[in-house]
Amino acid sequence: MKSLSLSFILGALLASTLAHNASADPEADRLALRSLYEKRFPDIPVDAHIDGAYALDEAKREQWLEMEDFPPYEFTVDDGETLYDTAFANGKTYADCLGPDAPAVKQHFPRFDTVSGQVVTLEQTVNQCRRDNGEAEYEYMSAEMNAITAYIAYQSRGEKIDIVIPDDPRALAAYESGKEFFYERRGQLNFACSSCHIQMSGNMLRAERLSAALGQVTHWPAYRFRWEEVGSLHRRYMQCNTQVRAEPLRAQSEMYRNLEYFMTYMSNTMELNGPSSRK
Amino acid sequence: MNHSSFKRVLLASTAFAFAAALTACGEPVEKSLVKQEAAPVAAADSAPVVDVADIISRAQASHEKSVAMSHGWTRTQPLINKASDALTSGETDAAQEMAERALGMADAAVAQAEIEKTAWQARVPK
Repeated sequence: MKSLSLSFILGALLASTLAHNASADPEADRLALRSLYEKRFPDIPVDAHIDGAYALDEAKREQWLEMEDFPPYEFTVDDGETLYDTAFANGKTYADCLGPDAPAVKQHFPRFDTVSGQVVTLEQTVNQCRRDNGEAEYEYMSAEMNAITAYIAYQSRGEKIDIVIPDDPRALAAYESGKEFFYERRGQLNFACSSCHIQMSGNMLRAERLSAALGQVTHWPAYRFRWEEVGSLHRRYMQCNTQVRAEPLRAQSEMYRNLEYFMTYMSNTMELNGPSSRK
Repeated sequence: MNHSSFKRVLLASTAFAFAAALTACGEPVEKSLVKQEAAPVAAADSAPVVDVADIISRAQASHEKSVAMSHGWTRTQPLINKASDALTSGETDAAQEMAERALGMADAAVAQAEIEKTAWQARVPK
């Protein structure tokens, strides 16, 4: 009787696990999200959401385009180019780490690393490259890291996001973890990422138009006038969390990397247009 | 609990324990003084004893649980710190009010984390 009960419990657990995995279908999630925005904003092509709130508000778009005539991130991109082109002490360069398409590689990040079993971001890859070549790592929110990633983003402009979720349960788990974070309400104001960028996208929050979730990852790093400098996507995550009075996580923490993995997969096939400027 | 917070709670707890020890085991002179004021002592004895340090401790523990669940709220820890400071400086009523608010916020954050374990699924576009 005891072994029968045990078998029943194990069977139920297995069925539950299978059911959970069966429900995790990233491509179905992506298509459903695109469909939602197609219905909500029928006059705006879904791929236009790479411009964020400026795809939804003509007056703000005009101001933004004028600002882009003299882009405030330009000096950062120049700094990044200098850093990128400077060989390490051993004579090697970032190009040796980033593969034949370097520096236009941003469309492949973040990626799931089957060796570590974790999501790996572009920032981590830059630091891995530095470690492998005997150089000190950059702080993730440092000017140097922002410069290098801004330069890579600039060189990757026009490439279409191509995030792969390999046939590995750990990759799917990382995707699901990011998805859960995106839809979970948190903070004293009880907001989820989806509250603003799905449920209320297109509406005004005080003086700001709320952008769609699709395309949000395409333009990072970005110069934010509030920051008066170029900053990373994870810095923006931290700010968003703080705005709803939720304790922010660390930049490049596993949860934020999983969130980036989910959000970038949702924007698959969309064009990269970073770096950019935002209010 | 970080070192600074732990120190605050420890200080607050020590201060409270010291005050309690003085009340319970004070010198005979002080006891005799208290005895002369019979009515206030009787009133104080009948009032419920609130252990503010304990509330602060519970708020801290609950807040740390919410943070471990990735659902900490930003204003809870500063409020716990303020309550500890108020208790240390003898502002017991203010300390109690802030500690109770912090405990309520920390418990709400934990409840939010528990609810959201499943509630998020309803928000995924189908």
